[in-house]
Amino acid sequence: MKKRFVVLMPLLVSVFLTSCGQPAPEATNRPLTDGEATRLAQVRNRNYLSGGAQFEATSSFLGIADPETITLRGVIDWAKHTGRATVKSSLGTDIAEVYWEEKFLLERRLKFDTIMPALGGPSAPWFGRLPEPSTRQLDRLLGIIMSLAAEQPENALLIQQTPGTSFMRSDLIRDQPVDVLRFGQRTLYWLRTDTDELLRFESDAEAGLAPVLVDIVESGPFTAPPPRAADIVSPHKFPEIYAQIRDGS
Amino acid sequence: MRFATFASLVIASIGLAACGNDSDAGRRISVPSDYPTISEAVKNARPGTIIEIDPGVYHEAVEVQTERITIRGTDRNSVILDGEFDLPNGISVVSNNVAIENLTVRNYLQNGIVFNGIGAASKGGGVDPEVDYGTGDAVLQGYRISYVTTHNNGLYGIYAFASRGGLIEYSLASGHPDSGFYVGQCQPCDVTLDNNIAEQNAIGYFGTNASGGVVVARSIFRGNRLGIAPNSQDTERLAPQAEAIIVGNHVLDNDNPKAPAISYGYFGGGIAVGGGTKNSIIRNRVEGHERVGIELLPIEPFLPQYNRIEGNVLLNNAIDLAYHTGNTDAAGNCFTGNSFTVSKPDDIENVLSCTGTIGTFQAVKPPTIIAPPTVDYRTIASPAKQKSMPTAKQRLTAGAGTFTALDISSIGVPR
Repeated sequence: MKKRFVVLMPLLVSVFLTSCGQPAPEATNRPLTDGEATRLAQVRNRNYLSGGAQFEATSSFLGIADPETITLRGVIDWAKHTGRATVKSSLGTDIAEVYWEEKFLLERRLKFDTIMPALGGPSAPWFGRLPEPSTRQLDRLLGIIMSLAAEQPENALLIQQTPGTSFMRSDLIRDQPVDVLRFGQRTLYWLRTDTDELLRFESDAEAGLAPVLVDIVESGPFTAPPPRAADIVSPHKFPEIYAQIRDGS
Repeated sequence: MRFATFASLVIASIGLAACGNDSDAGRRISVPSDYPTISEAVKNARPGTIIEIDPGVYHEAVEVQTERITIRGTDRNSVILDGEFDLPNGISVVSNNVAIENLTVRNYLQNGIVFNGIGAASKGGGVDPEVDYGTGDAVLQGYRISYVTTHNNGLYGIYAFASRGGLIEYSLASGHPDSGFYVGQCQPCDVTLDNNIAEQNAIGYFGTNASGGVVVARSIFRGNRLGIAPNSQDTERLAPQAEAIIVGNHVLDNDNPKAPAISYGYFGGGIAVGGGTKNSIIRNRVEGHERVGIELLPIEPFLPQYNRIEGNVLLNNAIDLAYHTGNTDAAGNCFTGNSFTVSKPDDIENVLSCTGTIGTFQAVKPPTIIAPPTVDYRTIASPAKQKSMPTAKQRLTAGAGTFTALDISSIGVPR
């Protein structure tokens, strides 16, 4: 019944990122024990039960003419499926911040800061749209972050028999001892040794061309405040502005 | 003919011969008088040992690696293993021919009781991804659960995975966010579930890729979100599922919004065969379902094939009988001798008859029902106290032992 790991798999891929600035310890790469499989089966539910997280995440798209890396820093409320983060792009796009819920997101676009007041709109405008994870790198990254929490545990036995699943190594992250467990061929979970808390998630869904790294800086009850209603630009009132955004201008 | 032959094979194959020698038969140790914990008693058990547990609440995750032992509570309702939503499994078994009797297992993060065929077949050597666990010799062989209550565990109440030759009887599973009883990935399974109760679970019985010699009989499935579901899925090995007999069950009101949600959103069905093959759904009483009483439906990429729906009594369901494949290929599925009012397609016993004559019928897709929001499994009320195992039924020798096969033909529609 619990197939979310499996559902996520097609999104994710095969080269593993190295830990930041630390030499990678020797890999062990052995099958998971029952206990390790259980830790992996519980990790997303553990996130959900913790309430939320402060995170940093990067996603790169390397196999194109203008490779782009997006970096998010923000908070997520796992239970309410909401989050808010600052956005930086290596290509310098004008999206400065993003707020999202389960089925829509809002972008804070700097480019329109001077335009909107002149049109009678807000001076710090946010624009809404539906998520498009299959075509937009930002949305794909948000989808992956959201998928790191689940209302129910996974099945440890099914995890154990998934090809590629293994214990990779013991390591350190932010001075915390962790066990690095691989699920399937293309995702790594860095679990704190003493508490099983997820400190880092890595994946690569396009054979080395789209690596994702999510660091959970702190877990706990975080809330993601939405933008002020007055700052959200109405698509009915300003259809031509939304058309500009859709056209990529 | 096909189904009569299958039923005969089931009856012939369920018996499990006791294995090993009986030199230690009848050795008994007690918890806490001989050993303070169940885990210590299990570690010190030898094949043939019966472990008797006195009343108390035991905060343990018990791992069983010794063959042919029995773990028995002296009182079903007051011998309690409690994981406190911190421990993984109540009792995890990786050895053959183990019996668990007369106790309660609650509040574990994963399963109340799990028979783990991967652990049994790999013997601690780690999982070999090349092996199809659950068939051939890669199985746990022989298990029995009698008069056990499981509730409020994070996945399944009683879970038999890649295991063969089992009996689960007079047990109750309540408040599980996946299923109360789960038999998965086995071929043949040769397992009988008899006289059980599943309530307030996402699903009462779930049998993914559980094929051959599966009998679910004379049990009550009530107040879940789905009662009974033999099914095929490619997320487990050994698909497609085939050859289960669902007989003489009372399946009622499995549209309970206070049960945990099914992860893919299904809500309100009595018996649903999802992409299963050659199953017999016979002489069940199925009533009070918001979606459907009995239905055949696909689970991609599997279509239901050669299933027989016969002699069931259906009452007060939105639709009593349904063939929800979205196409007009009968695929060997048939309906006959049922007592019902509404079917999709209409006149289902004529257009999908068991006589070999297939009529023209309209394709019907599964209905879309918005499931109510989920419920935290940890907050679901505990079940009522259950009847303890009669002393006369307690076996003198340890282990799962041999089972008397059910006479399927003698099982009628429950009243």
